[in-house]
Amino acid sequence: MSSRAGAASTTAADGARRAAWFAGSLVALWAVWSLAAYFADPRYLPSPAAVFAAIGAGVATGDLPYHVGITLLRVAASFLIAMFIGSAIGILMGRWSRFNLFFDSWLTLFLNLPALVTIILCYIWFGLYEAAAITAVALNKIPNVAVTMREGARALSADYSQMARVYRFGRWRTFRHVTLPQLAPFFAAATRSGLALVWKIVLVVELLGRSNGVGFQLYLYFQQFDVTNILAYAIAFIAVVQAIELFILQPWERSVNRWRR
Amino acid sequence: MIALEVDIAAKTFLAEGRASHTAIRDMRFTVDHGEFACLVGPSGAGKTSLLNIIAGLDPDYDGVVRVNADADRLCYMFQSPRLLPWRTVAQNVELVMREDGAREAALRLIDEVGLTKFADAFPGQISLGMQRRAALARAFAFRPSILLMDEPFVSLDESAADGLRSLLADLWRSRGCTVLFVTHDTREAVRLATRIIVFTGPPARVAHDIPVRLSTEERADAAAIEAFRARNLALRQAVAQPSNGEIRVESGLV
Repeated sequence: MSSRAGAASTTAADGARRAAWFAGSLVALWAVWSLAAYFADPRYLPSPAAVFAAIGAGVATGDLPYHVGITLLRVAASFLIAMFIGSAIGILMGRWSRFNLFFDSWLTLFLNLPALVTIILCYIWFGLYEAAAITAVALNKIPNVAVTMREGARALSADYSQMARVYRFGRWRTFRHVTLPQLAPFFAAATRSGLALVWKIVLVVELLGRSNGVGFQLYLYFQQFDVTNILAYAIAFIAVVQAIELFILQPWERSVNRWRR
Repeated sequence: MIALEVDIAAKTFLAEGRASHTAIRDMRFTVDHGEFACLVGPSGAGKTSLLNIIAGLDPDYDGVVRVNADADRLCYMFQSPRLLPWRTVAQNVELVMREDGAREAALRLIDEVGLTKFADAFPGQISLGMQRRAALARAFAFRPSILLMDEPFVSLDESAADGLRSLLADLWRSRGCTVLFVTHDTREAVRLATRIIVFTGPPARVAHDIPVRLSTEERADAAAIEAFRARNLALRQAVAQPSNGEIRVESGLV
């Protein structure tokens, strides 16, 4: 018991030290930025105070939450589609060697296809519609998910599937209690790298063919040469992404990994 | 009445498409309903191959296995516990039950194997001996008609293994299923079995079939077990060795 208490207090001290470093580095960044802005032309590099004022103004008019919200919806839709289709393809490829042999070269092709090409082709083929935008983003992400999930499906333990057969688990119980928990770490990895990729591609899609969303706003402010608002949107967006990581992804991963010591 | 009938002409493993290793040859035996049969043979004699065939995990063999019992309740307890590490002890037991009120029944069995305090622990948090107890609870939660067991108590210290043996003997007596228990330890076999089938190998085949009629008290008595071994097992091996000339393999038994 005493050793456990000792370990807990060490982690607490660790956490405090980390938080201090984190806060310190943010303050330093603010200082460097302020200093640079002091010497620069405010049209090119506004001060952090001005940028945060712009964020405040954007929130007050409701413009910023609206466009960030639209972008979030696109991210969610294309992410879910990509995870679902990519996982299905990846698991099939990992479990079924003929399927893998056949589709391996396709996968390589799509992995190396530049995102911009997929986006342009989707807009040309399907028109400047929401469905085309989401399809384009999902298509960019599917190969990455498939590759990760294929590794997961290959790593499935034969011992546990034998156990499930002996105890007549049936398909559903085997999937839910034996297969899915083994795939969870790969799912988490695909989610992490997936979100990071999807954010960025959604902005490009919005810039090229949508009339709302963060990408569209950035394009607008680029035309107006409004660096303050470009930085305001960028920072607001980073904050939202970090909040999702902190309040959704990390708690989920912790609960899934509870059984690991 | 016969519960299980095994007649395997050959089980051969292939390497690069060619027959490379014969694990079982001409292995024939039957097990009666309610019997506790111990298959005793040296390590590496094809025991796990045999159980995989009987459990239906390996369809690739030459011969017949007939199950004259509820085949859907044929259960196999592996050498390693194979509990799902991401489910708690109670969940692991509950998962194999299909009846209503599975949770309560699972907890009763967990209590019977002495794991009540660890019902909500994950398998990685308890010792191997406790994991084996949980695996035993899971096997009986399945209400097996026939229970196959593959050296389920190896790599435990003697007192932990013996605790598990008494537990198994109790569960078998109260639940009344047919058990086919594989081991290389003749003491363990005499302690538990109503019948010992001695086999040689590889390739595995039956050498002797010895009934064990000992009382519960005698089974708990190390001297009685030694006496039984001296009377039945050592003697038969001495006779068997010159006749089939497999001294190297059979000496592993004593």
